[in-house]
Amino acid sequence: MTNSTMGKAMTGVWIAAVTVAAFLWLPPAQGFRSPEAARMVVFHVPCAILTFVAFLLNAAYSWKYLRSRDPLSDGKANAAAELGMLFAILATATGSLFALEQWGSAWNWDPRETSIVILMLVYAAYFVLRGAVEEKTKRARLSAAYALLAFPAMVFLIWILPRIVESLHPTNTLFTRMGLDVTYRVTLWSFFAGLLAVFVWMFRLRLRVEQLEARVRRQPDEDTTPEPVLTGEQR
Amino acid sequence: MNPLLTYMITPLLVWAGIFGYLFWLDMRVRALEKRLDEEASR
Repeated sequence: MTNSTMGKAMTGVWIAAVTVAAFLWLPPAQGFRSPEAARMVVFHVPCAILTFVAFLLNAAYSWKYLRSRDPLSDGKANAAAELGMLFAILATATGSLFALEQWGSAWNWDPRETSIVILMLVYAAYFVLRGAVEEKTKRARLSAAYALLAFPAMVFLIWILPRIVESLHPTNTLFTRMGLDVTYRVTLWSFFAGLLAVFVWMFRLRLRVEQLEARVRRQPDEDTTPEPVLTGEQR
Repeated sequence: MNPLLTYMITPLLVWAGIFGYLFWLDMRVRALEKRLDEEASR
């Protein structure tokens, strides 16, 4: 077994073990409307943190691309944005389940719920932009510039807006002693560590797809037959 | 909904999301590698 396969197997075992520990080791959290279901935070919060990490990487690689014009940086920026979107969807879905149990409704237009919807729309536009421009260097340049414009909006939506408007979400619970209970904090960060390893795995695999697609595009197109002109069609 | 059931769905949702995406990426890598191999052997 190679080191890479071993690492992937260990990552799978690790997140499976943390999932089981969250069921068996974590006590129900008193003070919540549904103490049993409060354990969901250990799955929801790491997804939300990785959303930020991915969009931060997107901005960093976009900046790198504009400085170096290296196509690999553009590929990495795109891969990071795709992962950011995946984790944003997972954070929203798990958060909705939490809201359903604790706040009585799956969607409450809470500042954090609203901001993640805006954030997903902002990055959906990034993918639309990439899909709309065919020329490779122009696409890379425009999407990198857009990603750098989206970055301050992302920081505002994740870190500032939920703190200046009254929210159902608590703030500063992860790093302070007054926040989450130590058992919750250990489980949450353990799950985060496992998800981070999966994140690296997905990022590398996504980059491999990007590189293979570039190689396929470089292959000479053997089908040089002209497209048939339909009757009455003006060319 | 039963709170325990909702709680059990949450990790399953995360697992389905990440492993579904990994599976999709793996399929794409295999398809592209196969295409490159076929074109190289022509």
